[in-house]
Amino acid sequence: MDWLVIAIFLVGYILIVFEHPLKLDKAIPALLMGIFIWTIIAIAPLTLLENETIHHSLAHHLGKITEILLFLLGAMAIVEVVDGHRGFAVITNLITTTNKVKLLWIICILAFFLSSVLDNLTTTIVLVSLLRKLIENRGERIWFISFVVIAANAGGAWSPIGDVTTTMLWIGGKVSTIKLIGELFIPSVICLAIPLLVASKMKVFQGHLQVDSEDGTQGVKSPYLLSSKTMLMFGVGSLVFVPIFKSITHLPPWMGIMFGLSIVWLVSEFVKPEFDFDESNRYKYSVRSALSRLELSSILFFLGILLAISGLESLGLLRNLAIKMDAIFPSQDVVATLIGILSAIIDNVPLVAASMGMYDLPLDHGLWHFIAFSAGTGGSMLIIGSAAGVAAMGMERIDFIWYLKKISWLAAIGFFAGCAYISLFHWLTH
Amino acid sequence: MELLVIIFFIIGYLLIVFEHPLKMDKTIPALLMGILCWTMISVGQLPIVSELPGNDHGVSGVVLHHLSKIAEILIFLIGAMTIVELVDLHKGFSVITNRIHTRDKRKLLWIISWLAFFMSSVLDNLTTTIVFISLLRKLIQDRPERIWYISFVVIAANAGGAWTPIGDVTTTMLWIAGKVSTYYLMINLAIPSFICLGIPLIIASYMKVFNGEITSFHESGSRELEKEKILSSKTMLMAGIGALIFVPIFKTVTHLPPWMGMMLGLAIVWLISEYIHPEEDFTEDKRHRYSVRNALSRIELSSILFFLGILMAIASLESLGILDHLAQYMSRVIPNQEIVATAIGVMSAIIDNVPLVAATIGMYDLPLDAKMWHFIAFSAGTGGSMLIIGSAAGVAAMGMEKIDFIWYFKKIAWLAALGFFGGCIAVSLMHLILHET
Repeated sequence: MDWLVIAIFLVGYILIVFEHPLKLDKAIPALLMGIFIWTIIAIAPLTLLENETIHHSLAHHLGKITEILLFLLGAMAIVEVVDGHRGFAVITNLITTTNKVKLLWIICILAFFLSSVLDNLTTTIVLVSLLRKLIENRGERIWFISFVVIAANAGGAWSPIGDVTTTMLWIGGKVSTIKLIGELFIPSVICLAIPLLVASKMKVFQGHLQVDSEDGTQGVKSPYLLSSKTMLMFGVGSLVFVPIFKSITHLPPWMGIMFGLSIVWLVSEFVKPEFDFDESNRYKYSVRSALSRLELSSILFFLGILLAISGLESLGLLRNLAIKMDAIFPSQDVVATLIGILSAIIDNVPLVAASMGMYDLPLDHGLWHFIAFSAGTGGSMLIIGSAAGVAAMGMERIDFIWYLKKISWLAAIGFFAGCAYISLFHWLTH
Repeated sequence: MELLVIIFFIIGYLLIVFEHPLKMDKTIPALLMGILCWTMISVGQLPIVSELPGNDHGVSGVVLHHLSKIAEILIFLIGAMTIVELVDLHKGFSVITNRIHTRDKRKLLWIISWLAFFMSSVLDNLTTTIVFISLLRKLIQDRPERIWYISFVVIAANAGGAWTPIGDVTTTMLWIAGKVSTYYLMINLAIPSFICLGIPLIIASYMKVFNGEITSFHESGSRELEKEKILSSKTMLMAGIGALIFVPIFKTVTHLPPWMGMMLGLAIVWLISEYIHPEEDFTEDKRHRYSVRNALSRIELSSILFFLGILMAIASLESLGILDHLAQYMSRVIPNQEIVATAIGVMSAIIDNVPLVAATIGMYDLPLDAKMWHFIAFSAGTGGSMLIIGSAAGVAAMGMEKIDFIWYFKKIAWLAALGFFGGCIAVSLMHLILHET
């Protein structure tokens, strides 16, 4: 019956990949495949690893999956609340330069560090809306936006709260905060810096931006609210606090993020966003309205896909795959690089979830750091390769082919340079 | 240190109870108390009851165990809420409510009440109440007349939710936790639930307010309702209700937990909604209005987070063995479990019934389908009708129609109480009869 489980997984996966041409929300095949796989395990009594009972195994996996989902839910809610209070305007309003190269560096460094705290998707959306106000010419703008995608992906890889896949490795107890940052900060910087250095010499980024008149820079300044600064501070503060909470209390990260959310929520109930603040515009700034803007369908997508992968894991199929891959590829570094390249084509969440089930390696093993880096940054090589890229594509109608021709090689240089650094570093220290 | 956990719990609970005067969303204290209780356990290295699964991995193992139990409830609720919202977006419920044409007051009361009763046995009580209030608003213009009907909808929705595993949060919790089984729950509680609504209804039939014809019957109201139906209403209603009813069947066939059946149902309803045509001229821009994404954005995530917080807090008390002590203490003071269960019902009119039931699940170590579990399912589900603030359905009615607490207390509470105590006696009798044979 194992083959039936694999067949369902493959069919489901193909439906997910062809989401757009089929016009089918990918959460549907994800949920269906997760449930069908476990139904087969339950009905056709297949033997699970270590002869666990199906209930015990399922409850265990559900707990693990919920830890990730609640973490994401909390982080997304905090970011939405801050955004609802226009907190990010505090940062983006500081940009005033019209020099193209300078602007590119500022934007990229900003995206890099923002996305190490916020998720990549939010970072991209915030900066794309900023760039829309700064640069009127779309032909020029999409160059900058493409670099925001690269920077957001690179910035997410090195911090435990920066990216879904790194967070998964962190919550799953595969990497620790200090070690992760120590090992991956430099490769992540390299991954962004090399494309940036090359781009600085390119023709598109020479000269100044054309600003029509005075109101050009005026238009950039999106109006602050009274609460913008407070909410930004509390929001970012509570996100940064999550790893600290974990190391003090030894409780799982989702509790830290829920703690942060309740503090931000509490603050938001007592803060006054506008001068004439009454009951009528109260809802607009409330956490309830932020919660209604969350993408719950992506949470359900994760639920389905992680459930499916946990089914494969429980049957021992992932372990077998890892053994086969180790036989084919001489070094695990090659496997990790391959995961990065694959993540440009398929979703990186299932890739990382699968590799977590495949390898039984200790905390902070080199492979985990390598996977965190490659799955986080490999997606920059195609516009459809990362959540940040897809958001950029959706917001600015960036063409798949255009990105492939103009940006992919830059992203690839950065990615492989980062990979090379990690390999070399490992080789030197062992 | 254990004392500190209890103090956190009590303070948090007080803040939840005084949500309205404090103008603070109850999710905040709920989440905070859940997290702070566990922080105390972890940092203070308090001793955890050793029988709990996951204890060999320390506090994080126990937390993972509880989280997985809680997630089963939360995911179930998210699925059910989304299906109901989606059916509502497609105006599926108007298929049912459109059929009401009578002008006779008593007849209308009976039709509405039983309809609400059976609807809430499949849908949650809150949705049932909202659907019927919007219906009654169109049928009866005179507000003082209308609020009588609405009060009965509240009683009916609570009574109808108690006897099925998918009808009400608390019954669902007992079902998911493996305390009651679908079949025994339904045969034990169906008659008590009927009685719980039947007694108030029979009395009300003799009351003056429900005699004669409705003076302010909205003639065009029923015609207006007819127009509301859209092309997809019937399909989505059938698919939605079918998916909800399918959940217990899925559990029986596969022995997988209910949340999986609910997610399967959601995925199928979702699939149908992607290919259906709600209107004749259906364009891309209207597509979002009828989509699952829109339905997902309308569900109350804050109440999901509220449940998360409060259930984590209760789990912490359970892990420290505090609930066990409480149960032992209570069985010493009140030897009769039926009285305890009835008291839970009365209490649920004042405080939230979710924590009450969660606490009793942690307190009593009784087998599947023990009499106590059925009794608690009934009393926690229906006791809330005795006060307008006692149930989610009542609070919704209060919010939508500004029903006065005092008015409800004077006019309706005694009717609800008669039904509740009548039902409690029936539960005892049912158990006696079913055990004899």
